[in-house]
Amino acid sequence: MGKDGPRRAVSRRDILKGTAAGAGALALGGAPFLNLRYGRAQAPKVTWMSNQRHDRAVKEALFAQFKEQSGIEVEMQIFADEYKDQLKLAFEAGNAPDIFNMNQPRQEVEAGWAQPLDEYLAATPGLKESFLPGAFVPNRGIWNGQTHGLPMYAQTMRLYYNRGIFERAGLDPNTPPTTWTQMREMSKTISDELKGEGVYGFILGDKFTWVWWMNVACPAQLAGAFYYDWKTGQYNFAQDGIKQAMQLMVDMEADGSIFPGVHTLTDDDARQQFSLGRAGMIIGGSWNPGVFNDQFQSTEDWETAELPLPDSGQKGRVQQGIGDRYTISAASQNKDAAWEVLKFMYSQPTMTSMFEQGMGVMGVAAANTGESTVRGVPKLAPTERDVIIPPEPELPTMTPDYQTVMQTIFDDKGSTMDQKLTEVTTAYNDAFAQVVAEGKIAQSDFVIPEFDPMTWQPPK
Amino acid sequence: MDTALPTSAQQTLPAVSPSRRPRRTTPLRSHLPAYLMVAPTVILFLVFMVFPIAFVLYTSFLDWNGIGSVFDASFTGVDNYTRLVQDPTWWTAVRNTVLYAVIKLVAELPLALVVALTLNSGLRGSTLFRTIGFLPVITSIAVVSLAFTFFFSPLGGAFNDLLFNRLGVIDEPIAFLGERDYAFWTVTGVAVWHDLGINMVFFLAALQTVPRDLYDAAMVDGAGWWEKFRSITVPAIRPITAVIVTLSLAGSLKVFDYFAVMTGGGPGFSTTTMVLYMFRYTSFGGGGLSGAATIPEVGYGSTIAIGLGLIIFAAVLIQQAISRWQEGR
Amino acid sequence: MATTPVQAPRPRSQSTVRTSYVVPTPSAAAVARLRALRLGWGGVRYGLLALYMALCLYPFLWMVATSLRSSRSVFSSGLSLWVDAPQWQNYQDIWDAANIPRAATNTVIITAVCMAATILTTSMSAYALTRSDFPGRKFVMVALLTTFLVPGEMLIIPTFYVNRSLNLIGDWKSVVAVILVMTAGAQVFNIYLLISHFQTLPAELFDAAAVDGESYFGAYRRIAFPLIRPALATISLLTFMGVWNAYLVPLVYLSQVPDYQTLTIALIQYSKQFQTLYHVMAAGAVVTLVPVVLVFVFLQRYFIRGLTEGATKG
Repeated sequence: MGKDGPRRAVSRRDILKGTAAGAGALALGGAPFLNLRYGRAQAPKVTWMSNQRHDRAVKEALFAQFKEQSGIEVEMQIFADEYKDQLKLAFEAGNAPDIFNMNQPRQEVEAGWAQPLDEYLAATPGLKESFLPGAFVPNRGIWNGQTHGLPMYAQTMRLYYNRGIFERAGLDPNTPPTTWTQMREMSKTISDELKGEGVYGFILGDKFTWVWWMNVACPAQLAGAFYYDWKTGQYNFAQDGIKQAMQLMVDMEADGSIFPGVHTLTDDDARQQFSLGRAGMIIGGSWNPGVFNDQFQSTEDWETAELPLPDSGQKGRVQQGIGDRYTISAASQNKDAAWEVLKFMYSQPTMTSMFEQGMGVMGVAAANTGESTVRGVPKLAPTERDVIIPPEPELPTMTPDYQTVMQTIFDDKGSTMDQKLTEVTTAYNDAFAQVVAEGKIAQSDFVIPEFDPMTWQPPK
Repeated sequence: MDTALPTSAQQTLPAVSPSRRPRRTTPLRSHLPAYLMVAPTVILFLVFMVFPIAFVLYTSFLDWNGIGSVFDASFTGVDNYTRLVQDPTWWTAVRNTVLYAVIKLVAELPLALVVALTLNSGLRGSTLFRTIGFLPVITSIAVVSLAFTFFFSPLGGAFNDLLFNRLGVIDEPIAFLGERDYAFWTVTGVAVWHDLGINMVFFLAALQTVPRDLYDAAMVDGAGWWEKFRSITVPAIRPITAVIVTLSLAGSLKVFDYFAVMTGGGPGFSTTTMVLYMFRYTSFGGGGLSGAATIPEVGYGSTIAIGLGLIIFAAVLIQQAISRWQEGR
Repeated sequence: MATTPVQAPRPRSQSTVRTSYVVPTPSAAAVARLRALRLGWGGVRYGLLALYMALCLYPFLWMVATSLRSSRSVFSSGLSLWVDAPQWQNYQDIWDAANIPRAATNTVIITAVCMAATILTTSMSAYALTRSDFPGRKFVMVALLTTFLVPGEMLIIPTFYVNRSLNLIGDWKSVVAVILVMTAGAQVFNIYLLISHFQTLPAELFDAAAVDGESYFGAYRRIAFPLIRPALATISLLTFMGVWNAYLVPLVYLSQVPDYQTLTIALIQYSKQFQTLYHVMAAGAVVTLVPVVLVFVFLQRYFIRGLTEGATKG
């Protein structure tokens, strides 16, 4: 260890060069052959490492188009769960990709993996401004005063419902639920009517517990309850809005309206069941239409709708995530070519085409036209119910994390809700205080006294 | 790394004491051939075992995020260890793992012995039975677990079909891998199914070494079936039983693959094992897709690794002490 | 199938024992009762064994059945093993998607090299550790024993650093890394197994060989090695199973080099993309399973002998 320098010095590149030279010597006098080799080795090839697979085919097509324009070839390496490890191993092994998705941006910047993009952005007028407001703020896009990573997606949360199932259950396929009570009632109607056919009103798959963020934490934001309160700089999971959103899930389960085997399903399983027409409704991000259409090739008549509002009316907006930051690695030998790739990918035509093909809501504002012939896509575009929130504090892996706590409350049929949400609030605030005490983040970065969930606007 | 052996067989056979050959007072050089012959093993060991263990031990004292260089990480003394001792989820993981190991000992091993005894009693077709009984062992745990995930599914899974549709003993299909009352037991059942065969074969091997004439002599004395089992079979297979217990114990305490694939450690932490809990910090990470970024703590993951290593070590020491005490009686 | 040690003919069955000795002067009625008991007991034993065997076999049959179902019928077939319309297409799908031929070739190569390396290194070590009492011998024994208690999973990342320092990352070099790591992991168990076998060889054998001018290594190669063949068969089988089914190590080293992936990794990678296509997954599982089953069926009689002849004589 600590020998990165010399080790890297004998890289594959050198061996390749050596081999090429050897081949040249063997083919003594075969200069044309040597030249041909050399010429080909010079053609830039950019590696692109990602943990996103839903957009693979679309990106491949775009990269092919880009290669025709520029001669630059892009090779994608896609990993799922093991992305984090694979990325580290690639950097450790000295064969870092030229472009990668920053899944741990702060730590990756600190480790020196990422090339600051300020100079490149300065040389490309208009690009930085084309992103959604809030794309580059301290602790999200800006670390150590430098700009890192261009956000590819800015997902919105939506309710997806199956019109065919609504109709069969005697509901109006054109009016998805607009309030939580309606959502509960419609789920019950569907389950009561169609359970015999194995069709349920609502589905979630929490084998991996993070989905409680989508199914409780996000809906609660419409009640004005974000679990981290920027006003006070404190976590609070025991807010009424969160409890009500949690209670809705508990009640729907008690009604028998939720697809059985919640904990045995991953989100992917749940989405497949929805695609097969076995559940009336599912909550998910704007990446879902691509999954339903392409990955699971759904033939069902489903549609996208906004998340239902609490019965007491809208008191806040749902967070619009802004992430999947692709950046150039500091170790790249092809930085300029890599920047050309990024410029192409983040250009408005490319981004618009990705939105319209149903890949999700894009980081470039003008791309989210709301126009698309792909099922479910038009309604993904951000509305006044979506907001790009300020950055949240970064905490270590919490055990238990609040999502797992919600899963337990769900299993306890809500009986332990008050106690467990209070406990997890304390745990998160303690962890926050400790991270601040260790100097890993500054608390002041995460306090906004004037924050209001209905009116707050990210800085331009 | 996973060794080139199935979980239950990963460990060593008996702590065989090498036959005492008269120690010859020869100079070191005369041992050169012996040194050369153990050299590959020793080198592999130093490089792929001793150094990595030292590395994990070192990082267990660090606040290291696993991304930056290990040399830039700050040294935090025994902080990680204090935290481990006070971590309730860690103790949940320890309890789950120990319970699993105990079930494997008290359920799987006697069952394996019973099957081995039956196969050893001169039944027709025992080779075929032995082959079939060993089949589960030779299948990949990762692949088998994937198959069982569907097998126990409440949606058209075979097991629910049996209990609900055919036998009618349950009121509605049960998510056997998704309910905290069942998940642990279901996964443990799959593990017993998968690993029973290897222990059966170990016992079978042991039974075949019991000298026939002992039984014949007992017969002359008019000993019954139980008498013979107790006074001949048990003492004869005791040494290898101790080995089988050690193998099973160490293997069980390291378990993770069944649980990782079938339940992912949930619901809650009801099926989280020690190794799975280690992965929570070293590999799988927490946040996932849900909004906020997390600060990785690979140093703490190393501490968990050392903690579980110590527990396995202690368990095996205790078990060895017990079996030595039994032999001495 | 040829007779194996398990089937070695027994001089007397247990029930005969009971008839002759537990009841010294049997009346006709008692004999009849005992005969019935014997039949009953035999029946019960067969019944229980058959039940256990059914439990062992059923999941395999069910997997084969699942692998032939369509994406709809897979959810409605439950316990049944009957397949109405076999979908051989599933095999075609997994064959192409996971690039099975390539992955199978890789797996065969890795497994073969690992087996050879494991047999060679462990038999040499075990021989030396048994025959010579060289200074440091005890230390090696204890070190071996200690490391078997360490969960290999925790060593993944540092081991990767080692391989990086050895410049063993990338393409075929990653394959070398996999082989080294797996061979290292297979040492302890096999060395102990082989020691117990070498111990059964009489010391006079080696003394005689020495008189004949056989060198230390020569005695290993020409005398000891051939004598422990059954144990080597056991090791081969265990190593084969372990390497063929290995998951974590190949995942770490080979998932970045798709052309060098093993079957298990190819299958798992595929399942991550399409994890709910159970029928196609099942087809993949069957494909990876068949070679292991075949190898086991052919090697199994040596397998038991290898375990029997050494392990219990320590």
